[in-house]
Amino acid sequence: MKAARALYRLLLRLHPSAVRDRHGPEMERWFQRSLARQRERGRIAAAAYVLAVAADAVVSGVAARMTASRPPGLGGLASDLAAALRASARRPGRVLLLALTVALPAAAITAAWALVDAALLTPLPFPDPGRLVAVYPSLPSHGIERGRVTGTEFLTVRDEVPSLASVGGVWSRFGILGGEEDPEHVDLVWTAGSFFGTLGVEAHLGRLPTAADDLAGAPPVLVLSHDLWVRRYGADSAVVGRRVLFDGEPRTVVAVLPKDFRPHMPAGVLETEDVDVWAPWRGLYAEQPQAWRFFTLVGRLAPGATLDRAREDLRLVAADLQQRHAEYGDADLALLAEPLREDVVESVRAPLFGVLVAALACLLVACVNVAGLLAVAVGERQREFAVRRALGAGRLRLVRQVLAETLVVFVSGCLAGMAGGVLLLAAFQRLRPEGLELMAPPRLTPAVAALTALVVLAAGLGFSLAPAMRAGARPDPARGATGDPRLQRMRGWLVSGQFALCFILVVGSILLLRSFDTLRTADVGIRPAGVLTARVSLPSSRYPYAEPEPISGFWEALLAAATHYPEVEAVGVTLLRPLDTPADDTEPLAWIDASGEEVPWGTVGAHLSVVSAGWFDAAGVELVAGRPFDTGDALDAPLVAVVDEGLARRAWPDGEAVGRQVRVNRFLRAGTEPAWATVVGIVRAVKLTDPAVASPPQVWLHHLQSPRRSLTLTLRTRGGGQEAVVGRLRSDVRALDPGLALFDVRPLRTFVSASLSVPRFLLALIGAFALLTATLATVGVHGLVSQVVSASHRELGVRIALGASPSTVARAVVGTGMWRVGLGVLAGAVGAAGLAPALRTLLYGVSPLDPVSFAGAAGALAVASALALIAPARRALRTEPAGALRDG
Amino acid sequence: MPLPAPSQRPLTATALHILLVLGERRLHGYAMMEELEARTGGAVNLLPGSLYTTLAQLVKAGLVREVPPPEYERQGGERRYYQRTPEGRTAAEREARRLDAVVGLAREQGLVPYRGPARPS
Repeated sequence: MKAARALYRLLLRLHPSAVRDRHGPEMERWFQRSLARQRERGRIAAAAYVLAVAADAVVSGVAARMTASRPPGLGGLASDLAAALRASARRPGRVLLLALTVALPAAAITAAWALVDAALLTPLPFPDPGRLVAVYPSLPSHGIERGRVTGTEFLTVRDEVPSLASVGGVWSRFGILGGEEDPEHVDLVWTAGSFFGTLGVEAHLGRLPTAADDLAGAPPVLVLSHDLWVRRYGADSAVVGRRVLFDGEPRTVVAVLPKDFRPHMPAGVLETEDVDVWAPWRGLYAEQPQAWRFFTLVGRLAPGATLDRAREDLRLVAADLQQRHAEYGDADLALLAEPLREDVVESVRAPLFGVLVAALACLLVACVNVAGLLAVAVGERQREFAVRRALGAGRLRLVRQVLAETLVVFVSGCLAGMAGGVLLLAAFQRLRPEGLELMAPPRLTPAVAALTALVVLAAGLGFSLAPAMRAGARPDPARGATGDPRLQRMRGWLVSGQFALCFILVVGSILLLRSFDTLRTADVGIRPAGVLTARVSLPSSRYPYAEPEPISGFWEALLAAATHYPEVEAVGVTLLRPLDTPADDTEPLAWIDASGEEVPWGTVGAHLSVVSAGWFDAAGVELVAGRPFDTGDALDAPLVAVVDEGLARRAWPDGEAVGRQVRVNRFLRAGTEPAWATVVGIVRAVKLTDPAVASPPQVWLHHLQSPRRSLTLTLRTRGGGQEAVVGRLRSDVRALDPGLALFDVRPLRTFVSASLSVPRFLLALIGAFALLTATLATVGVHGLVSQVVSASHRELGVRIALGASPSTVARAVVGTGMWRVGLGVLAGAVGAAGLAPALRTLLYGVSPLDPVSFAGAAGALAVASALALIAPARRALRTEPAGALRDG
Repeated sequence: MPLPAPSQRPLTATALHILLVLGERRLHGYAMMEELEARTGGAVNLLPGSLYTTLAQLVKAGLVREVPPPEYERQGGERRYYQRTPEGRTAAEREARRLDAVVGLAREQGLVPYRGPARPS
């Protein structure tokens, strides 16, 4: 009661103050008395009464304000809208249903526009973002399309490209923050050059590192993320200047980044955008091995320089580099410059536009439904329009009146849809798939709201114009209220249009479903069930590559301990993780082919990983020929390698790969030295990057022969007990080195599901749209045929009286609707075929013109339509000839 | 053709209902709603939002005026009473005649059944 009173008092504020001041107290008293009376009749009666009173308060209050405030010359329009509001209040159920029909796709469009705005239209949040470029080396013959730079390439780009005012680089790693008492694994990015200066970022506290901090011998410094600063240091501003241990080395904290800072790098460059610490690398770039590619570069165009100028400068520099350094051989080195923003959004452009187009198709189908219902309503009100025409109302006046009523539906549907869109965005933020990075959180900005309103109202009024025009036309007096053939034909065409759009969405969702299923069941080369992974990273200060024995010793000791866990069947370590490796993380190869000729270095680029002897068993990688690594493959033993079957077939098509020689980079002691390795085993290819993308060749070295500091443990467990395994691992890691921490502990299957997150997201969205449009379209055809049955009441009576069988009558009724459905499906098939090139980028393992999917969509819509037509067919069958002839 | 003066434009249905139910009496809003519902057998059911906004417009147009409450209501009552003005009676009369003419037109076109005496053959 109190809540109802409070609501009514709130609604009274919609009335002009003149009415409110004069009559407000009396209206409230009246409301209380009437509500008490209604409550005697029951709760439902009272609730219905409150709703009716609330609707009346809204309608009359808004109408009164509009009448009071309308400018001169708009009196007609204002009175049309006021009349429309009153008419809507008299039929709240119908208006609610129509508004809901519009609200659902409007909510989808609001959310889709907000996502497109946040992902594709919002500029990078840096000063003058249009002048930021990403710089990539390209060596197609090495399998490097857009790669990372070597130390020499970085120095050259930094110092010899005048059109780039500043250059910086990023290299994603991780490390241990803190000492033995409180070690914490953190995500780290090494920066090269002037990274923060290039982006134009300002520190929240302190000062950000410059190029001077990146010189070899400069004091080691550290930058904290805002989240880490709050979490670990309690937001203490005195942290700037403090010395902290990082990977066993003391570093000075010089800055804290702003709260919402994200680097917005292209997909795959960084392990995560939520970086904990940043530090200048301070290495000797010129002395790094030529084959070692580690930094991704960003640059800022110099004042007055253009992108084309920068590209020309980079072309000249690349040619010069190739001449000066024999290591490039015959490879055709290019240095590419792309606008940074374009690179960042490239991976999400197609999926998001797909979602937006699907939402628009949904809206069009809903508009057709509303237009169809409007056509029926216009037909039923022909008497009213006849009276008004007789009183002198012009055609335009009547059309305007009908459009005003339609506007009420679409405005209320649009507003409700925007509210729904806000809820959808909140859900999206919680369920956002990995790989869908946005420039800013998606929200209902004024631009998004305006665009949604424009699209919904334009579509709604556009579709409603034709039925509304019938309001002003003179009807055929012989036909009666529902029998205007022009309205029926118009509605029939609208239904066909609905089914055309619906077919495109349904076939699209079937294709996405099949594509997703193919991806999901694709052989990724591993058996992830029951497999746990965890990472450990050894600090360079205590485990230098110059002394590899402690590194190998640590891993061997940890593996030996884990092998004895009762829950563990097999255990190993690996450098590159399945489905989690950047596509450009490749190294050049050379090999001796079957005829004894050396295939030149760099002809092919391959994923080069190091693993322990037990990793293939632990990950479930199938051995095809030869043997895996064993304890005999020690540091000083002849170098051996395992290759995947793809490389084996390509390099040695005679099938005799075991025993052949392959030349690879071998990380040993001070750097990388290419060395010849003997192939001892061949395994099935493992999808190291995207399951939808063909894998480059793969080569594995034994970790004892090519020691690495940061590896991922892989443990195949039997049954449950993974928590116990994790507990044991943490203890054993700390027992071996108290300054180390286990991190990134997760089942191997999460890598598989993460790789499917964007396709799954797309499928869920498009599938939801397809279901919605199919529902709306079948409602539309149901309504059309029901109308035809009503209009043909007399004709049906005559047919039955003349002896037509029930099946003939039913066939005629169903046929009326089904041929419209068929026409729409045919048009939809043509439309879907036309969209095939665009859809191809979203599919895997299935053609966008797949006939099975097309047939499935047509069959599903035919069945749904036939079911929707059962009720009107039964109504037709129940026609009584005598009654039909009498009613005329 | 110029538009009719505001005082001569057709009344809304709510405005006509109020003018008719007031008659020559003075009534407050609640009483108007109750009487209208009773006399039309529930066919016309005014809600307060529609009633009071229309009442304000009628007062502004001079078709209805606020009057002091009856003697028995003057102690402690906060109700406002209204009475139809002569201009209000004229407007109601004009609107009723207009509707009568409309119904006659509709009857001629066969849209409304003839309820009068039998037509001469």
